[in-house]
Amino acid sequence: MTRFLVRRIAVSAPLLVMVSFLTFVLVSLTPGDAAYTVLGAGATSEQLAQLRDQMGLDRPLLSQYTTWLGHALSGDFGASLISGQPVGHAIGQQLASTLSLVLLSVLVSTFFGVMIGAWSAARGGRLARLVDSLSFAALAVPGFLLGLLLILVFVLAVPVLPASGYVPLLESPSGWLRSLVLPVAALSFGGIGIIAKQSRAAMEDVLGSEFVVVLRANGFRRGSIIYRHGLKAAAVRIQSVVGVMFVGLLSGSVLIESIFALPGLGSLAVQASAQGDLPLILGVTVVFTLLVVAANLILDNLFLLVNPKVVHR
Amino acid sequence: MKVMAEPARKAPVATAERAAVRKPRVWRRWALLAVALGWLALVLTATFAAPLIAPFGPNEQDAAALLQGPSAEHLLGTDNLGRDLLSRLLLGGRVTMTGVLLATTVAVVLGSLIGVTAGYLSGLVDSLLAAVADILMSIPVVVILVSIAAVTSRNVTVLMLTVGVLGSAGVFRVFRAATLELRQELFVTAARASGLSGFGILRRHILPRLGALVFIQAAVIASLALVTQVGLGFLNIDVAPPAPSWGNMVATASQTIYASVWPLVAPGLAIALTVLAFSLVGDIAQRTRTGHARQVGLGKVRRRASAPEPAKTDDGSRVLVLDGVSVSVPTADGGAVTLIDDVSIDVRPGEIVGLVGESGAGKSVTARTVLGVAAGDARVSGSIRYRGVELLGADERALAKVRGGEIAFVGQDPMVSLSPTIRVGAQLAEAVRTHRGVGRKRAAEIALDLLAQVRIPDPAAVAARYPHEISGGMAQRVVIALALAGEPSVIIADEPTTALDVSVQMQILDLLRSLREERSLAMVFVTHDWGVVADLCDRAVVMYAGQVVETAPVADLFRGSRHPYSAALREADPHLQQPGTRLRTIAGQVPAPGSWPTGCRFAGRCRHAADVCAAAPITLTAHEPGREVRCVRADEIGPGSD
Repeated sequence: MTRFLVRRIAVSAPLLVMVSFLTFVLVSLTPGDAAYTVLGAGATSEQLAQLRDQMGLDRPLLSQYTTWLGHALSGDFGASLISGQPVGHAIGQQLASTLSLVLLSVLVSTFFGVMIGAWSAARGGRLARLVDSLSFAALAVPGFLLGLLLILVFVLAVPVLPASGYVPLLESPSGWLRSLVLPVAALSFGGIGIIAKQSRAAMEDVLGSEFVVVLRANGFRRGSIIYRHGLKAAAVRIQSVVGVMFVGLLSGSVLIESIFALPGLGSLAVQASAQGDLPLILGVTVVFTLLVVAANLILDNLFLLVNPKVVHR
Repeated sequence: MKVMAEPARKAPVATAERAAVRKPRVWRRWALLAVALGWLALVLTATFAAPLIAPFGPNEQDAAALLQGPSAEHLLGTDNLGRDLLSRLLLGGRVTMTGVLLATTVAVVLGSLIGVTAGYLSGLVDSLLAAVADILMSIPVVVILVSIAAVTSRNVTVLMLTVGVLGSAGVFRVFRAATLELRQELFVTAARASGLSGFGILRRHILPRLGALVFIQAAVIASLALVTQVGLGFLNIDVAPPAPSWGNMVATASQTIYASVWPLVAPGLAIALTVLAFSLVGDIAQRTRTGHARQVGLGKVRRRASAPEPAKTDDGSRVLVLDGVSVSVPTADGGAVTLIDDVSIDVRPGEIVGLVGESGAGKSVTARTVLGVAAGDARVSGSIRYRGVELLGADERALAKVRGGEIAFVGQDPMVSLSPTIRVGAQLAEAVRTHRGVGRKRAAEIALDLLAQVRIPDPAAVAARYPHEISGGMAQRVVIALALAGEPSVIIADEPTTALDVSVQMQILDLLRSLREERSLAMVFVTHDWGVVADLCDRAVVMYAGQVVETAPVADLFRGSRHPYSAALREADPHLQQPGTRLRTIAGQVPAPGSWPTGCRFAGRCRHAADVCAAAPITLTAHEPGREVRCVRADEIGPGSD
């Protein structure tokens, strides 16, 4: 198990370096560099040159990157070009909202997806096919369209939920939940579709296997066969999709935050992108990648607990 | 990524079943495909011809018509600036669909080429490329696109190129796996052995078989690219306003959603329908390629017709009775294939009945049907009674009491018979709790006791292990312990020693024999091994092509078989062969279910066959007390020579 974790981290490190380096290179290609962004169109060329020298912008790219990486490793992502606020601080302020949205969506998608998939695999027949079609449609409809639809229904037609804004958990747990119901629903819909499809396929195989015949023939309870023995045996196949779904949900959260006006990392990225605030973009991208790495590590451990029969590739 | 060493082997029943469960309503699938392709063709034509057919310019404003619904002048209405929505939808679709085509082409070309290369070369190159694909798949696409948008000031071409490159990782995986699989197939090995060059093999044997995958993956990527593209539009980072795209039309509409919903409808529907059409095309193509089996679910046994009133009465002399049991499974064309036909078997208390025959005779189906665990969509008729109580047509709840508690089951391959992710002791304890209603602690004690009863030397150590951590012989003892957990009076054993080493077979047979003596258990013992029949069974039921052909006490049967098939099967017993002579076999094969002749089903392979054999169905007739034979010429031929 330790070896497995070491391996996972060995794969994650290049991921982080690659993503941050690529973003860094991209950023350096921008017409009009950071000094220009800070000083604006009215700056003289002496002012620009001075600031470039100060910011190290005239050094070779690789050297700039290693400097940035060195600082980043010690937790210093630089300062926003626009507000001068430390990037780490700006991200910290917005992290809670994004984490709440994404983590709740992961839980909701996984729980409902697995339940629907397992149920439909065990039940079979016409109703199960209907569920299949529904989860297929769920996969096809973009989350932000669904979000707008939800706003139409639950904010405009039957005003029961807030359309926008985020209430911190510590301020008001019930307000927190209310502010997240619609965003989480919009984001989870596609996730449920993905998980349901995969769970259904995995459970179909498991329920068709010989051990299920033996357990049934020896009187094990149906519920136990499906939800204890069956799901545990199917868990590894479902897990690999949860990881992929998490990446998709992070992407989707950017759009969902925009619709529901949630002050999250996605909004921060979009805003930074519009303003050309490059250190901030870089910081947000790295944090997103870190979230993916962390999620995969957690998932691996979780499922190692559930399923002992894991063969490492 | 991990893979679980999940058992690939399945029950014999499953194979027969699989061939028969393709869905018949294929035309519905094609109709759906036609509709989806039609919609895509319409969208592509209309958007690319947009400059010709759009009634207005994209930014022409009609100040007199702000946020209007459909009218004769503006077929889809207008937006908040009075711009014609139909024109914007058509012209905006050009941006969107061009982006989708670009991303799809890049992803499919890049992914398939590199995927085939990696899969074909394998080794280090493959591992490296696979690692790169893993990394690409871990990147949250939209976040990267947002930073690229900042850098390229909304260059939609660069954005969609990036989508294509990131999307190629998924395509890569599919093509790599498919190539690996093809590479390992026999004909490729043969082609290599015959000296065809590497490129020749790729071109002649591998590439032609990947064509369908290109189509499927293109559809899958197109739907993902479309969702991403309109997402970018919604964030207003695809094209600079006021130029339209489907995504920024949704964004504009969402700002005025409180005033009018109408501007949202057209782009929303266009997006949803087009994504759905792409996904449908991919899904249907995928299903057509792999062939999707009908989903039958778990545990529903339907009764075809009510059984005729049993002529025999159930007294205490028989614990289990199968009376005229037939099993069929539905076929693709809406018909049904019979797997076993009018099978009747009696089991007396404490008796071991051997069910003998070649593969495909229907032994396993018979055994599994008793407990209602044959194929999920099997139709069963006749009567199966346990101590006079009808089991056929009983609901799952009633059956659950009989299963394990009265009649238990031991399967063919112990390595796949136990729940792979639960410790041995916990599985046993669950069985004990289910049947005996004791508490957790007591159940764990009983579980250890059961392990001791099946002669496992260190019960506590074995109980703490997972099934894949114990040997085959040990696992079969655990399965037997599991079967004993409910204190049954009958055990159905489906070739319980076939998958084991010879020395372990003997131990398991000894165990079963002594358990029978200790507990006066009755058993139905499925086997093709005459040695086992002679060793263990009191009575033998010989099956052929879904029918019982002979029933006799084992001693009588070994003195002389009355059915030519039993005789031939006995002669083919490897234990009886003389060293230095040819192994005796029965020429020909058991006819498959669905191709059984009207008359005697063995006639085609029988050396005694005559015209009378093929004329009409042969009935099972009593010859001497306790002996029934299904052969019209049994008396003429006389007892088989032994």
